[in-house]
Amino acid sequence: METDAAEDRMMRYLLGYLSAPEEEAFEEEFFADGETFARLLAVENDLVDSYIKGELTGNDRLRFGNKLLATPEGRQKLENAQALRLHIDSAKSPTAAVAAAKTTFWQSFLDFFRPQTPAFQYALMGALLLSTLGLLWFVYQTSNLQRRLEVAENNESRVLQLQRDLEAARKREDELQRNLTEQSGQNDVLSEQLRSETQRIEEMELELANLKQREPSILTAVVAPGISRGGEPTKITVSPNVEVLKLQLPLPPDKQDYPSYSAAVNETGGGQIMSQKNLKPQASRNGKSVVLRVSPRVLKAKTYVVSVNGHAADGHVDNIEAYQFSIDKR
Amino acid sequence: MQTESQTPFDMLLARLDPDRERAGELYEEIRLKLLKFFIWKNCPDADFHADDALDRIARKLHEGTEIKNVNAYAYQVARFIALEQYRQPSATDEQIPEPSIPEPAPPRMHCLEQCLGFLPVPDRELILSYYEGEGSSKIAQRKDLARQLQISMTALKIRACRIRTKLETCINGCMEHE
Repeated sequence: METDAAEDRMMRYLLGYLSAPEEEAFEEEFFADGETFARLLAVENDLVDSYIKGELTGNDRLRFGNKLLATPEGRQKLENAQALRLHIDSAKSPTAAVAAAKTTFWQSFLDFFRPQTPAFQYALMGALLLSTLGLLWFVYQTSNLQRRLEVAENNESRVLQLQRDLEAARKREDELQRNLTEQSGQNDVLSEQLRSETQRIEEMELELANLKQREPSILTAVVAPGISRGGEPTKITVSPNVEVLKLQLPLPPDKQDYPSYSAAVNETGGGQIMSQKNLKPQASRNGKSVVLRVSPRVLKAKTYVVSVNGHAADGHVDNIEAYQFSIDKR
Repeated sequence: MQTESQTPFDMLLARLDPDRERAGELYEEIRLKLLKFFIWKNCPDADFHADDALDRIARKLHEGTEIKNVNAYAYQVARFIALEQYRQPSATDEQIPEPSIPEPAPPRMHCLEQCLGFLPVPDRELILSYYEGEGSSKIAQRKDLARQLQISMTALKIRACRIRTKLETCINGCMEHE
């Protein structure tokens, strides 16, 4: 950068090398003199351009760069200078062909757009920017996919194992499902059987009940022999549905051979209720017995005495035994 | 001549030049000096302080203060504001990391194209030619350009700088709308 003494002073001012009095004097000067100020601005532009191109080095570069970038206006100026440089580099005349040979790829690429109108150039620049962004996105995506692929490869065995486990689990699930279906079917059968059995039981119970209703209720009661033994009379509870009371009267062992017997039922201390002849002795667990059929309707809740006589073949009648029972109606 | 209806701003313009248009140009020149002064002082609110300085000058005029040299007075006001608000960090040679150069965003390139289109053709051709080339070829090209325009190198530099300042002002305005 070619400079004279005045410009050197300006450069030193802009780089902050002037002393405070020199600085103040120079500031008074460029405020008062428009041309000095204009030259100062031109020097500043040169410094900015030199900074961008890398021509400004060492402490000068550090000082100027930090000063320039310290303010928004300074940063704007720097960006404007860069934009202008990019534009000019992209629009170099053919006379700069030699210099262009040394330019960067970026500058060479921009030369491609030179013959076009500025609007077209900018459109192409936009397209280039979009293409670059697209390329960066593609690279990012490719890198991302590569990482995912590596991860996938690293986990391949695990994935295979999981797939095998999953397959086995699915088989087990199918098997369980089948079992469940079968069990469910079995349950259905059993339920049907149970329902059928229940219905049959209910039917049987109903039938039984009907049968019980239709069948005459017979109550058999064994009446202990003897009155004189002082014992309690045999207590017989007769329910309302009892239609026939069979009194089983055990015969004494020495009086069991009579061809027939007769029995009479008398109220205690009172008259005879009923009597019956030609009773045949019947075998039982306690030897032979005489069975007397009595209608409960003729019996009251009282104590009764049954007298049994043995009728021999010669017509002889013997007093065999007396039996005592009491009736309890409920 | 002060009238009751004159605002401080009107009084400042009138003080700069009786011609309203020329006064406007001078006002912008002073404002640019103030702006650059605060930028070079590393003041983060350079725009605000430049306007603040102009307001103070205008108010002084409105209050009846006689100002013989507005530019010199503007510098004193600016210096006072800088002292009032900021202490300029002393430039040292200590090794601090070099900041990275921000890349111009695509919208800025678009604004540059647009603003170049707004420039008169001679100005556009001048600035593109002025910054074309590298090293010695650039110097030769500038000398040739100055010769073609029949002006001195210094005049060419100032003219190019003014066009660039105009261009940058246009770009910055355009960027605010991007």
